[in-house]
Amino acid sequence: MKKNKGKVEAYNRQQEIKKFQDNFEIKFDMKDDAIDTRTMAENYEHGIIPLEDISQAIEVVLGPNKRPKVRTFDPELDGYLHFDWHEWTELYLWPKFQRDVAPNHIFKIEGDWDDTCPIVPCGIKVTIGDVTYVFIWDGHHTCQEMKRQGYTKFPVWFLDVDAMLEDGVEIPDEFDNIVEFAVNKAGTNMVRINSKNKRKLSAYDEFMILLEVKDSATVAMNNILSAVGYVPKRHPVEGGFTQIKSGIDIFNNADEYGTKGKYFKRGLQFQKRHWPMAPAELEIWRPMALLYKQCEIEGFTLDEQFDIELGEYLTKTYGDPSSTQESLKELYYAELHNKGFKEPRDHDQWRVYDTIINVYKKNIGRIDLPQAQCRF
Amino acid sequence: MKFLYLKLDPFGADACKIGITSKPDVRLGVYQNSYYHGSHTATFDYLWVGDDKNINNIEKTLKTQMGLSIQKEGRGHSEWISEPADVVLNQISETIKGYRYKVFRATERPVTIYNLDQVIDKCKKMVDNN
Repeated sequence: MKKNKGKVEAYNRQQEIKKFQDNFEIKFDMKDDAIDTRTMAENYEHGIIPLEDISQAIEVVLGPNKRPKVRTFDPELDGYLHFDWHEWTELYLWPKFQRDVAPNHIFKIEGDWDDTCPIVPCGIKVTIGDVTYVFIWDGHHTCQEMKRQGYTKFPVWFLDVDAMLEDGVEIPDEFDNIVEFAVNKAGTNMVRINSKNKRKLSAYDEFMILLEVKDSATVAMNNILSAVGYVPKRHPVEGGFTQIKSGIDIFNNADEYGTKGKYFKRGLQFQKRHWPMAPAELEIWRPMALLYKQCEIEGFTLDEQFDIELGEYLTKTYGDPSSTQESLKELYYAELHNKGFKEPRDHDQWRVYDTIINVYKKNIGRIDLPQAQCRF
Repeated sequence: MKFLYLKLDPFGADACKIGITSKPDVRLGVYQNSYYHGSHTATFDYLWVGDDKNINNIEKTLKTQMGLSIQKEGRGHSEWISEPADVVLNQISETIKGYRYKVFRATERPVTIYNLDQVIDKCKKMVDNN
């Protein structure tokens, strides 16, 4: 029999999360990939959360076994990273870790420039011979744009290699000289920040940020979601809407007068009417939105009765929205394998679209619909 | 045809187990295995029937909804919900209605190995008639 080699700390994450949530009137999601700070903020005056509370939430989610070794570190006094304003002539580029410079990227930055926007470029400060160099390893395009914008001073957050050497920090054996060491630090940090540890902005986060800054298309799309009874969410929970990118695509489908969002809204309304609690199911509301649009283009009128009879048929025959769209796709594939189609569809949205038309014509057929590309 | 079941804690704690199976006789046998049949009879205290898709999807939804009451860590913990039966039953009933799950509740309760065949027959009829 195997013996226990070490003591495992008793920790139950779900219980700890529940205990932590007892401190809050409004509960919020706490998962590995996201703690929902937007909902968490509703527990605070002005919706502003102390970082300490978020830190505690992170501790709860990660648990005691993932804690780093406890220490106290004052980076201002004990570290080698400092901030300073620099003259243009003090700044350099070391192409070993910045392989090129992209004028078109600088022009792109320029098109969206605002003096409140630049983040602080990062560098390494090292003296070789009589010259002190500040190599920029992150934000060198921003530096160039600052220059084009007439800046006379440049902010840099830099690693002071000179100070490290003065304090007796030894260069590891694998580096022949101070330059190699500085380049290694710069290159490693550049990969860490721009690739290895970069958390890509999700479509949901981008949407919520644009909503906060009152981007007009985003506000309009969110108004539609609210009017129908959906809330943008990161995960598919009750009444949640998670398909941001597809939502934007369908929202942008304009009618003949250029009005956006009409088909998006009706597609969502169709789902909400029949499955009021379920999160928005992409391959229900999207093919329906496409159908509403196509009917309008071809001159078919889809009255309210159409929504009622189709929805009642789908719920009675297939059940919940996930089961419904899965079953519709299965119908399509069954026909594809049995008889084949001249021009099979290449995307689920159109497979379900065609199947809805076929199912309606075969089982209800009260009004005319456009022809499905794949008929059965 | 697949089944969703809710099983009460046999020792009376305010907790229940949710699970799904397409072989209810085998599952009841597994639950019976840990106890002497003279001391405890394994039961499905509530049972619903539906097609595979609807049953699989409702289980996923219920476990998301009740996630905070389910212990994810610990071997064998993850199917137990630390909530009283009436809370869980109410959640199941609201979810069936709100999501329009095509699942049907068996009227017999509890379901044991002794009445299982009869319940399955009735379930088949319910599914066929709907």
